[in-house]
Amino acid sequence: MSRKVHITIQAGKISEQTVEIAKDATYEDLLNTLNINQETVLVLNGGNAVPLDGAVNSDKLTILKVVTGG
Amino acid sequence: MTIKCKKCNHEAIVFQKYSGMHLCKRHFVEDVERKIKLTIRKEYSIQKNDVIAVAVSGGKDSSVALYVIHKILGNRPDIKIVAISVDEGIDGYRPESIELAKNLTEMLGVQHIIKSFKEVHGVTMDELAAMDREKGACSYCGVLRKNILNKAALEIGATKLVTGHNLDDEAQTILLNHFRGDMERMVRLAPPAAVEGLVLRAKPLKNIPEKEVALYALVNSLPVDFSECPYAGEAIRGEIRELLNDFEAKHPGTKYSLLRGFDKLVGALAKEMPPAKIEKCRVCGETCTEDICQACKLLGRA
Ligand code: SF4
Ligand SMILES: [Zn+2]
Ligand SMILES: [Zn+2]
Repeated sequence: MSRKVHITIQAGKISEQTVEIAKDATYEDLLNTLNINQETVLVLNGGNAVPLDGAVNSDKLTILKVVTGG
Repeated sequence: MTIKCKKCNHEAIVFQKYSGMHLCKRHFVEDVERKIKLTIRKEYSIQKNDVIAVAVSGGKDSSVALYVIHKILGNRPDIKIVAISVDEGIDGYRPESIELAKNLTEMLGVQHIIKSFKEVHGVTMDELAAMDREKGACSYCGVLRKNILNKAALEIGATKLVTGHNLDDEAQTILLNHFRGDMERMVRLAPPAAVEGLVLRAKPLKNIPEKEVALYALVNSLPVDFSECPYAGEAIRGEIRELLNDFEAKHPGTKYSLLRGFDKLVGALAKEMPPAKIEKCRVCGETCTEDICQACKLLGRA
């Protein structure tokens, strides 16, 4: 079983996409699917940070890119 | 289902893979501040009547550095904290972030000095970037910024100059110097002894992973800028960052190991190498280790 999650990626600019993940996927799995290194982002659910080993429990998330040059 | 904090029963906001701990907001903040206090106590002992200059750019790292220094030391009547910003002259980037830095210093009630490349060196970063040049934009930017920060810190009689370098910055630099075989630069990374004319540098965030610095800024609602400089980054540093982050994700704790190993190594290295000569630049009089300082060399003032 898989499901869809709507993702907003904030990295200076803002982009949006929908990604399909396994029903029991964790945030870490989600980042791996998107090919994003977990050391470089925070994942926010309703504006609050979540531990990345937790199971995704929302169909709307924001990924805040926090590691940039400069 | 939510995950609980290791230290209380509240909902965790972060998982530190390297420590195995889940932490709630309160205990995460406590953990970051505990590490910062420990770093300061071990490496940058605070003296009575210290004047602490904090370099702030409006980015997350330097803003967190100022916020925590102010939180820890702001109520000591004998200690003065002054923020210094350097406007490199990068259109569409720096003016915005300096505004955010101003918001923070106003919020904290900290004196804020702003200097610019144009006023001190007569040239903006945008102008330098457009010129024919031998090195990357960041080489110019870094050297000229350090020069201004040191001057400004000296002017106010600062005894320490705090920068926002985090664990990732430090681990990247250590790895980069290894790859280049640059052991002299290694030694220079270590907390230097006080030298007349050079304000002692302090990096209180050196034990905080970059993403935790960002999380700390977020949970404390600090006004910070997450945007990226248009000239961002030496290419090679970007490669090292990626390499290190891949390794850290697979082998949590790698960044801390690099730092710990370096701390052990550097004591021994320093004994092996002759101490750097300290001279005055013969063009501008700035304290440096050669007869002409880096800034004058880069600007062709020799
Ligand atoms: S990324 Fe480079 S050019 Fe931009 S502010 Fe940083 S050091 Fe300067
Ligand atoms: Zn807790
Ligand atoms: Zn000089």
